[in-house]
Amino acid sequence: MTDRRKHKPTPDGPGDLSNPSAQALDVDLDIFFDAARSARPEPSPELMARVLDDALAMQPPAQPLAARPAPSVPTRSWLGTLLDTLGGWPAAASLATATLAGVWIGISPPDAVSAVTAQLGLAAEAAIALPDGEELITTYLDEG
Amino acid sequence: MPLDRMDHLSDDALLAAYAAGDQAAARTLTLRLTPRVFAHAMRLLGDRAEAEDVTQDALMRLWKVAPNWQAGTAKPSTWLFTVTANLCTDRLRRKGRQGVDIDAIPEPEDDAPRAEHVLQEQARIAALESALQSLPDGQRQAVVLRHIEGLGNPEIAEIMDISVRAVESLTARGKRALAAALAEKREALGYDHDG
Repeated sequence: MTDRRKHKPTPDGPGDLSNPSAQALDVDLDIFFDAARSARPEPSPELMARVLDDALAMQPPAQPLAARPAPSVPTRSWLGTLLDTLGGWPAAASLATATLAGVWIGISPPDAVSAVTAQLGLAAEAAIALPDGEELITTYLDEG
Repeated sequence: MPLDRMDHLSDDALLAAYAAGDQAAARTLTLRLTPRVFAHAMRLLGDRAEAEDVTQDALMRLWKVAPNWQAGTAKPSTWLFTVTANLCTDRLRRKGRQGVDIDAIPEPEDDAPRAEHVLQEQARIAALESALQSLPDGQRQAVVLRHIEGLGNPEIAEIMDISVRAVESLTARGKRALAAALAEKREALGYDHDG
């Protein structure tokens, strides 16, 4: 903010200083400017009221609390939770591929797999004889 | 927010609060800006009723742009001075400005020193207002903003949308014209031996 009371000779540019009479008049003007500043025209209360009425009438409404969007609570679906557990979509895709490959090999084993199992003495048709439940219980009771 | 807590806020911050629906901000802005706008309009127009209309109009424009106001681009007060000046200029052009007759200003008559001083001050203000009305619009606006409102030349340049050098030129010429107009009332206004 500039100094309003004391007029420096420079702010108003060239022309003022070279003329002594203009400089004298410039000093005289301070009296008028001082008087004008000390008696600033004040708005009437009616004008203030009208301006405030306008301000309130044109003011955008404050957003009520109910209208504000509720803060979002992070919820996860069972699928999302499962995916997170497995390590995301890429891991789930790999797992699904491996599962399908296993099922397919079980249904229709390639020749290479059959050759390996044959060498191990495990014919494709061979069944592993498991003891049934009654036999297991009898054996357990006999052994004490 | 209570009014007294808003007094320290900048115009920018208040305008943002206003746009968010804060009624206390509306009141604080009204109390802060209306007197400045009215005083400026009054000095440019020299007519109370017209100055009131311009003040109400200028502030309505501020309320209107408030929701889209971009903080930091311009000071609301600077923007308001610009709008006020434009509204005043429009009115002056429409009606064809008629300056007040400087010789019609009453001279101090009371002999009592105190009363004489008050009358003398009033006469000076009236003489200045009259002389201001005789200036071209640009000179009057520049002089009022610089020497009565106390703004700096760069801000005046922004308000008037001209260069700082043009502001300096307008102010200098305006003051010379004012001085010439007031010199005719030198003795009656008593500024040879006071001040």
